[in-house]
Amino acid sequence: MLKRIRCLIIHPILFAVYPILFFYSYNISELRLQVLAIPLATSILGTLILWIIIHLFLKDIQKSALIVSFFVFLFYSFAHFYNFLGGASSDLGTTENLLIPYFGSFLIMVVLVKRMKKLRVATNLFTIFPAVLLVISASNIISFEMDKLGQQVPTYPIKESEGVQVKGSGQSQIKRDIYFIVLDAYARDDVLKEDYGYDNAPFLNFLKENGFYIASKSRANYAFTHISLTSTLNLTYFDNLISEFGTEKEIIDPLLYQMLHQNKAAEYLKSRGYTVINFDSNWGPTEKMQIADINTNKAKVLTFFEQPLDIDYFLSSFLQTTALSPFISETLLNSRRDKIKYNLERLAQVPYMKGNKFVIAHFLLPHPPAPFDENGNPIAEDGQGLYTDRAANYYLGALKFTNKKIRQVVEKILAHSDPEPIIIIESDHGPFLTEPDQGTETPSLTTASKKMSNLSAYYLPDGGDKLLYESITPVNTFRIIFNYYFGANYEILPDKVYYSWGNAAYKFYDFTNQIK
Amino acid sequence: MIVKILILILAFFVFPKPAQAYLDPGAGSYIIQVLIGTVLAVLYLIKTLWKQITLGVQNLVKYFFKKS
Repeated sequence: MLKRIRCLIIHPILFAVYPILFFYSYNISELRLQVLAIPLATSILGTLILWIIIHLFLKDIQKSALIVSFFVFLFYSFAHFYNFLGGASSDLGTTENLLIPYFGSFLIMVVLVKRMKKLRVATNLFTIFPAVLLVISASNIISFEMDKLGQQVPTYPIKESEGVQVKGSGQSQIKRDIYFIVLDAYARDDVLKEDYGYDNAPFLNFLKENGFYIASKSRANYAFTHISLTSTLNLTYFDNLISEFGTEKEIIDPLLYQMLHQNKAAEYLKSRGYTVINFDSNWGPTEKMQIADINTNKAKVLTFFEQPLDIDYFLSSFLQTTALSPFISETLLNSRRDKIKYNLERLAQVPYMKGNKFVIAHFLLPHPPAPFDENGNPIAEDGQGLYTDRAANYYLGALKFTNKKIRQVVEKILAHSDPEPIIIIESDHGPFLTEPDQGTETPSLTTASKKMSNLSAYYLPDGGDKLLYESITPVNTFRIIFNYYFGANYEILPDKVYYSWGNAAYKFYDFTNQIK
Repeated sequence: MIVKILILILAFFVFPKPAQAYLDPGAGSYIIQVLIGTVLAVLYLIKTLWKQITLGVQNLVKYFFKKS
């Protein structure tokens, strides 16, 4: 049996599958299994076609398989090698410069394989190498999916709190459109001033002049987008869930994912006749929202035989790791930029739609890597990362661009909405600073404090803003809105600030009292 | 045993990165995995060709001893 397996030449398929599974596995907490279908099918099919073509020339199944495997390996490893060699900041320069040595090594391999005599050993080598890697990635994915299967979304994870009862419940009986605009990693004004030397007063004053309440001591409840957003949209903390499921992110993450996609805020409003509209953020968890009635999607990325190809977030990011990246990287990045601009334009048009709308618009702005400068001109995202000086340098430009666009959106929404809408402009957490302890398990109090200092601006017409307060945190946003505008009876929870770091995103440190 | 240890090391590098609102190519992890995969493949190669390697070494030693 083992001998028979050894005789099978399957390594081209293994090489075609592994890089996709690796990329998925590495980013698994932000992705859904469905995204794998098209890339895997295309990769396997493409490899088989290439294999057949080469076989027609060489007339040797083993040799053609070795050449195809090496080609596929080089093809999918392109950006990894490029980044490993230092990327754009190294002597290598642009990605195009790697193509020549790449092509050279492929030609050498072709010559070697053509002269090779011990093909059996080479075939076994080429099989073992990707097989081991594939088993690791696949087992990681399987264990993650098994955990997901075993989890159920809690019926309602809100523990009856000891919070304060909101007065004035149900004072406003008019149904209004609700806009929940999330500006990812947008810093609070005092942090902008202190760390970036930027005075954000003009933008905040614009909002105030237009009736917004700015919570000057606002903090995020959680340090990561997927936790923070899920908490806000489910009106709850995760203390109970963590004690039940543990702090390992692989276990709890799928549950959060489900909670985000079936969030209570959307469910509550849907049951009251609202249409839920989600704007494609170009980030897996909020790219499409399962509970949304409408998921905006601009299917313009690439064309194939003049037919538009809808390339999702996963495929777009993955393609940039391949040898195609020198040719399509800019197109893909431009499509992401177009999507942001398109969403900002569409957002301003929502008031023209009939019926009551609950809009969830998550923008990866000014989150690094910055796609734009302050005038909306594209910026090379390569090598920006999150905590780098390069990212910090571009952050302000992206923030200024965001300000400009949000001003236009707010003006249009306010001008064309009747009755007056409810608008929440919130960031899920503070900025990615360059302090050495940023993103570590035990940051200084100052660093943690800045990371948790978010933007919270509310337009709550007809007296709703009277319930707001300086130190409000996002967990209470929809509690206040539902109480005041829908006569709900949610208690206002204590405003907690839970810091965590990347390697243990669910191991929360309660910083509430220290950073008050 | 060595293979098991290497697989465990390999598994360490496949742990997903934290969700940071952008997909990371994971270049460092990929390269490390490829290197470890290569080591495993080379170990296999040595195991497969062990007889030929030892024979080759023996012949080489004999050749030098004869010469001296």
